[in-house]
Amino acid sequence: MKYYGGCDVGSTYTKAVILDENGKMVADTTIKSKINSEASAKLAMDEVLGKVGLKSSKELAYLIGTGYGRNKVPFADENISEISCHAMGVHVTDPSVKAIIDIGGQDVKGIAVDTDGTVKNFAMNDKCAAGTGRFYEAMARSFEMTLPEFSKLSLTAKNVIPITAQCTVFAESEVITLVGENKPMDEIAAGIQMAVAKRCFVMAKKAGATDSITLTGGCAKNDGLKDAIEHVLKLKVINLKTDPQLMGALGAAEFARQKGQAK
Amino acid sequence: MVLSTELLGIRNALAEKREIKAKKAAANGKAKFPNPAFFRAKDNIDWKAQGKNLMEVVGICTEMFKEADHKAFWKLQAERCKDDLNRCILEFKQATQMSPEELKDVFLNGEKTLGKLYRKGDMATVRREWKGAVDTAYDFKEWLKMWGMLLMTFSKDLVPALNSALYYRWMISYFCCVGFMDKNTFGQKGSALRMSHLMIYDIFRYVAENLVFLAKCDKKNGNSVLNKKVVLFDEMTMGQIMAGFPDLVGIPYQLMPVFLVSEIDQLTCIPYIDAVESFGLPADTCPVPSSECGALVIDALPHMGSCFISSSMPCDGSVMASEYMSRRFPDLPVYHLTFPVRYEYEETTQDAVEDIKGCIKFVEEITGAKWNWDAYFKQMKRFNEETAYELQKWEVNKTDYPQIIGPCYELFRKWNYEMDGGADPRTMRTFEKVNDIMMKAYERREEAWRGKMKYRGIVWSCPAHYYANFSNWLANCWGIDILVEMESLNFTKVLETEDKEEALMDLARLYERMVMRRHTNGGYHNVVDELWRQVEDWRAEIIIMYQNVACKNMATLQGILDDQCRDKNYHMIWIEHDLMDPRTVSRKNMRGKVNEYMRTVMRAEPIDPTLEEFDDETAM
Ligand SMILES: Nc1ncnc2c1ncn2[C@@H]1O[C@H](COP(=O)(O)OP(=O)(O)OP(=O)(O)O)[C@@H](O)[C@H]1O
Ligand code: SF4
Ligand SMILES: [Mg+2]
Repeated sequence: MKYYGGCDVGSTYTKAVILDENGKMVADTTIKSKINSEASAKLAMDEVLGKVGLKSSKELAYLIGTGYGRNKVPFADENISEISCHAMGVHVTDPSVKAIIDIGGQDVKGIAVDTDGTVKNFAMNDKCAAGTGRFYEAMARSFEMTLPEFSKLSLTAKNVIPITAQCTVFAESEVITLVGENKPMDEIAAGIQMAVAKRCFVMAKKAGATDSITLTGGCAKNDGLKDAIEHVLKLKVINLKTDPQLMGALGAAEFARQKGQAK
Repeated sequence: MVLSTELLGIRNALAEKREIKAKKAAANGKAKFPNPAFFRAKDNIDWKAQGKNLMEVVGICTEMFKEADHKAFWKLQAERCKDDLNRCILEFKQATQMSPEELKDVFLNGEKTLGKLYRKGDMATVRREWKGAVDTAYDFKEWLKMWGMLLMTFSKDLVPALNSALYYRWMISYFCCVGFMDKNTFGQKGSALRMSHLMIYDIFRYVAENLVFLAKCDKKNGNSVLNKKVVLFDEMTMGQIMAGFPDLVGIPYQLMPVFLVSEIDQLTCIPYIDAVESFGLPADTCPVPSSECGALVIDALPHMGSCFISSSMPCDGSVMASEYMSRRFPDLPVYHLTFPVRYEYEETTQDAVEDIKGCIKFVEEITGAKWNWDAYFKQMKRFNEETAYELQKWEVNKTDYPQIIGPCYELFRKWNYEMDGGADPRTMRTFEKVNDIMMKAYERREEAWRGKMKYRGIVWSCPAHYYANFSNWLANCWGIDILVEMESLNFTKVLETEDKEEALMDLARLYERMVMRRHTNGGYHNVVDELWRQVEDWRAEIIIMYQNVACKNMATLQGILDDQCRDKNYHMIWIEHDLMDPRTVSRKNMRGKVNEYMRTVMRAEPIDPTLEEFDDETAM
C-alpha cells in the first residue's frame, strides 16, 4: 500500500494527515506548534507515520507541506500555499461547498472554491488578531474558562451585550469591565461572538458567499461563533464530516496523492 | 538648530543685472529655460550662521564616529568582501558551465535571473545588471550622463547647495538618484530602456534645478532675492497656473523633501512619521500628511518663498499639513484652492473658475507680478502638444504590441501632467524622441519587456511610494505588464489657447482632475464604473488594486469593487500598503500578495523564480 502525507504547520497548531491510495484518511494528528516550524512538522509527521507503521517520511509516496509562509516543511517533496490546501481539503470532504472562511490561530481567510477544488479568489486578514483563535484564547482566559467551555457559553444567552471595541487589547479590557459589573456572562459572550461574526462579513463577501458558508480552522469548532454567523450574516453554516481544523493538512495530502499518482 | 536671517529685503545688483539680460534675451526670442536669472544670483549667505551649522554637523559626525562600533563595522566590511569574492567565483563557475550558445546569449541579451542582485541588509544591489553588451554600454553612458547633469546643475550654485546638503538629511538621498534610475529600469532592454532613460533624465534635471532653487531660497541658508519670485505649491497642486507668470517660479514645495524622496529611498519618511507621532498625531493617520507635518516638526523643510498655494487635495489631510505649515512659518501667506467635489457636473465649473481667478489675484498681490495671457497661451499650446503625444502612447499600449511600460513612464506622465505642464521647452524634445523610438519599436512589433509579456495589467488606486518600481517587479517576476495606471488617466482635452474666458474654464477643469483626485472626489462611478470601462478599453487581464491601509477614502469602495469584479470575472489582486511607511506593510508583503494570487488562483509559475522571494528591507 502506498501512503501520501500532508502537513500543515500553522502559527498555533501543526496538523498532519496520511491518506491511502484511495484517498481514505488513515491517520491524523494535531499538536501545538513549536517555535521552529521544521521541528513541529517533524514531530507531527513522526506521530502519523507511527500510526501506519512507517519509520520515516521518505517512505511516503509523496509528501506536501503547507502553512503560513513558504517552505514550512523543508523535507517535503513540495510546499503548496495553505489557501489552495484548505480549498482542496474542503472539496474532497464536501464538493458542494463554494465558500470558505478559515479562522486559524492568528489570521482569517476568505476563500472562493471552484468546481474542481481550485481557488477562484481569496482574501486574507493577517494584520489584526481580533476575531482569530488568539483572540478567543484571550477571551476564555478573561472568563477563567477552557476554550471549549467558552465556545458554548453564548448559546444560552437571552440577550446580547454588544462589545464596541474592534481590537483584541481593547475588547479584553472592555470584557473585564463588563464582568466586573456583574453582567450575565453568557450575554457578554454572545456580544463577543457577534463582534467576531461581524468581522467575518468582509471575508464571507470576498469568498463570494451568497446563502451558505463553511468554516475551517480550529475556530470552526466554536459553536457560539457558528451560531452567531448564522444569525448575523444570515448565512447557513455547512458542517463538515471531518475535523475542520484538519482541512489544510487533508488538502495537502490530497494534492500529494494526485501528484504522487501522476508521477 | 534654527538659523534665522532676515535679509529678504536686500537688493542685489548682480541678480538684477542678470534678470535684465534674461528679459532682453526673452524679448529677442532667445529665452533660456530655466530663466538664468534664477541661478547664480549672488547670495546673501549668512556665513556666521552657516559656520555655526557646520560646526554642529561636524559635532554630530564626530559623535557618530566615536559611538560607532568600529570592530563590528570592519567585520561587516570583511564579510561583504568575502561574500563579493564568493559571488564572483560562483558567477564565473556558472559561466564556465554554460554551453557556448548559452554564454553567447547571456553576453548579447543579458542575464536571466535578477533576484541574486539583492543582498540582505544592503541599500543597493550587489552590482549593476548585465543587460547584454550593447544595452549595458548604453545604460552606463546614461549613468554617466545623469551624474554629469547633477554635478553641472549643482555647480551652478555650489555653495548654497552644499550648505543645504549638510543641513537636510533628505538632500543626501538625492545623491542616490542614479540608483533610483537603475531600479526603475531593472530588467529593461532595447527601445524600452532608451525611452525610460530619456524620461527619467528629464525628471531628474527638473529635480536638480529645483533642489538648487530650494537651497538658494532657504532663509536658513542662501536667502537670495530670488525668494520674492518663488511661489510654493503643495506637492499635489498642479503648476500650470504659473504659466501666466513667466517672471516667477512655481516650486512644488514638499515634493523634494517628502514626496519624491520617499520614492527614491523607502526609509526617508520614517523619521518624519516618528517625529509627528511623538508629537501626538495618531499612528493610523495617512502617511502623506503625517510625513509632511513630521518634516515640519524636525525642521526638514526650507523656509522660503513669497506665498504658498495649497489645495483640498487629495483630501483633508492637506488641511492638516497646512495647519502645521502656518505654525512653523507664520510669515507665509497661503491660498487654499477648494474645487467642487462633484466636478463632473458642468454647473460647478464656474465655481472652480472663481477659485482660479482668486488664486491669480492672490499671486499678483503678493508678488507684484502681472498675469500674462500670451505667456499662458504659449505654454498651454506646448502642453496640448505634449498631451497629444501622451495619447499616442495610450493608443500604442492598447494594441497587442504595447511599447511603453514601467515605472519611468508612470512617473514621467505624472510629472509632466502635474509639475511641468508644458513649462520646460526641453521636455518637448523628449516627447518627440520617445515617440520616434516608440513608433519604430511598434512597427517592428518589439516586445517591450523581452520574454516577459504574459499578462496585460492595469493599476488602480494610489501606489505605494516606497515601492515606486513595483510594476517593474511585476513584469520581471511574473510577466504582468502594467499598461496604464489610474493616476495617469487624467484630463486629456485640448486646452483653449485663444478665448480667455474659455481658457479659464479649461484650466479649472484641468485642476479639478489633478493626480490623486479621482479616488477622493467626483463620486464612486469615477473609481468603480470607470475601472470597468478602462479594463475593457485596455483589454487588461489583471487588475492590481492598491489599498492604502490608512486611506479611509478608498476603503469605502472596497466591497462594491469586490462584488462587481466577481460578477465580471476579472482577476483583481488587492495589494495593501502604507504609502510612505514600509514598516506597516513591507515590500516583501506586497510581493507576497501577488505571489500567492499567481500561484493559487492563476496556477502560474514565475518567469524569474529568484525574484519571488528576496530581501530588500533596507534596499533603496
Ligand atoms: N475545540 C475548540 N473549540 C474552539 N476553538 C478551538 C478548539 N480547538 C482549537 N480552537 C481554536 O483554533 C485555533 C487554532 O486553529 P488552527 O489550528 O486552524 O490555527 P493555525 O493553523 O495554527 O493558525 P493560522 O492558520 O492562523 O496560522 C486556536 O487558537 C483555538 O483558539
Ligand atoms: S491616500 Fe487617502 S488619506 Fe492619504 S492623502 Fe490620499 S486621499 Fe488622503
Ligand atoms: Mg491554519
